[in-house]
Amino acid sequence: MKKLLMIAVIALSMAACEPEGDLYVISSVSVSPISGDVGTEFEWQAEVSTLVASELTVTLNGAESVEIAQESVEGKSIEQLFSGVISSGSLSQPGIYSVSFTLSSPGRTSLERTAYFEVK
Amino acid sequence: MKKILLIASVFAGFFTACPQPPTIMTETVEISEWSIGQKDGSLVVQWTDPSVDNLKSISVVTRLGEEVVDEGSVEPGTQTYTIPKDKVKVGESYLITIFGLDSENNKTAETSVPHTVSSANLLFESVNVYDQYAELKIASDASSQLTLEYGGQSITIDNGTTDIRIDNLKPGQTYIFTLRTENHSAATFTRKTMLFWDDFAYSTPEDLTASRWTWCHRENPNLENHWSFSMRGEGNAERVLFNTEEGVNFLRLEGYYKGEEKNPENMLGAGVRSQGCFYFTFGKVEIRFRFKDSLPGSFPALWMMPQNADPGCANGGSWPYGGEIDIMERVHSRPWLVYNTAHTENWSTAAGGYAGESSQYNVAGKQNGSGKAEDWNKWNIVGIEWSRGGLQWYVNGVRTKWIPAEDNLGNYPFTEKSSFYLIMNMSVAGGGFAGKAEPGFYNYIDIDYVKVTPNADTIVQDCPYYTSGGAQ
Repeated sequence: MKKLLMIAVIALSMAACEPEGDLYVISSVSVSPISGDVGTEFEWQAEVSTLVASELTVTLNGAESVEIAQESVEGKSIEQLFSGVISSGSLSQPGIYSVSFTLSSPGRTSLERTAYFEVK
Repeated sequence: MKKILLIASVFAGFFTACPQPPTIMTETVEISEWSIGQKDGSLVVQWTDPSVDNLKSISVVTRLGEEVVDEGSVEPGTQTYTIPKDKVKVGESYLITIFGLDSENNKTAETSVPHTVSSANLLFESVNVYDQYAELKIASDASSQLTLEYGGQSITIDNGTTDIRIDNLKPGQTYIFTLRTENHSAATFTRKTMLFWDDFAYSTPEDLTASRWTWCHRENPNLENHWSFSMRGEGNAERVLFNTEEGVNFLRLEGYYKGEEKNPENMLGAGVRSQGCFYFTFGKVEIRFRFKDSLPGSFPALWMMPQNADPGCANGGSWPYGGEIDIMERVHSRPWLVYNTAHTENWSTAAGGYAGESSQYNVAGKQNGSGKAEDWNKWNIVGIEWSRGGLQWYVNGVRTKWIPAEDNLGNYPFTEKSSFYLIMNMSVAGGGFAGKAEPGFYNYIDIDYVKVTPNADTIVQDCPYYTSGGAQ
């Protein structure tokens, strides 16, 4: 119900003044498993809802920030799910890593979310 | 009731003048700065509160697998929570989830961090991460050597070391710092490095211009009765001071009208700019400053000009087509206010004169408020957040002005194809907008720090400040 209400508000808001932040939402981000040994294959996942066509950029923050995926997100969409695999070659050292998910669209402020996982 | 209010507010938004300032939905905000350490067997979780209006509480939930082993909430501003030692075991990996609630019980996005408990006590007691370096203070009772890992680097920390400085960090990048004993990640924190930082801990003018800044030059030296007369000064080094007051280092930019004779050549301001050295595309600028007085002819300003104008701008991006962002200007006619202004083709020339899209705010962030001029004699912070969505000004954390990118600006110049540099100056005006200075005039602006932090839109520029350590 809350999600429906949110989408309704998004639609009405867009009809009015298109305030930033209401145009797209990153509902959830995750990496699984949350912890694994060196050599483990990790999977990232993001769920997004947007009114405007956008781009989802996925970046792995390790020794360098490396873009690992770029996905086109359709406009007027509810809960599109994106996922991918993080190459174990990028995770050769034990430690905490993060994956950043950035949703952007020309002329709109981007949204960013982060998921953390551990390589033992 | 909430639904009715929400829908009512949306329709209210429809019928009121557009555009409205951007709203930030609580659900879209996350806690991006956190740290986890160990003290006396307990886990210490610290964070920076998220930027949410009406933040009510921060909750910390600790799980072992699916089982919740601890949960608790604290008030905003607390920024620390301790998971008791009887709830955690050495060698186990826990998932620690942090989130906020606003006054309507809307939840921020959850931040979940894995942490494996060590037998040693390890804690980051303080963490200061700047643009290209970090200063850390650690507390440890580990008997073995520690290693600190970050960004693919690993350094050994000798026993007894408490203060660590790390250089050669990349600006605008997310780092996770992990302090390890043996194979355990016993203390961890994450930060994004700034794009630029200066706290003016210098001794001489040469220090100031060694790496970040160059002097501004005098403008229109032969033009009398002009608002911008002596705006950019020359011989700046004579009018730049460095001082420390109550532990705060600051830069003082002075303006004079020397002597008793009316001679425009004796009107001297001071200014520095980061042109050709540091420039950026999208980010948040915050400057802590104060004024001495408001006098006729006094014209202090903190502003930005294009290093690279968007190639799509008319007339090669020359002023005003390439844009100008005035973070703060103050003039004598309204001494209790500062101006937040942007200039573009439409706002400056099509309107038939030097107009700009400007608003005036007092220290409480109130537009055209009466305020008190002396409030600006104390330290205050002005800021501007520049994103793909537009420009937002802040006075002491209160949003004072918003210019959306989709506004009807004609040739909107503040795009991803542009980059801007910083200017700070104390000008002495010969008339017009800022009033007319008289012989004997003396005034100054003090600047405690300049901080530029990245946002989700930031494009880090390959500028000399990063690549060759200074101005070219």
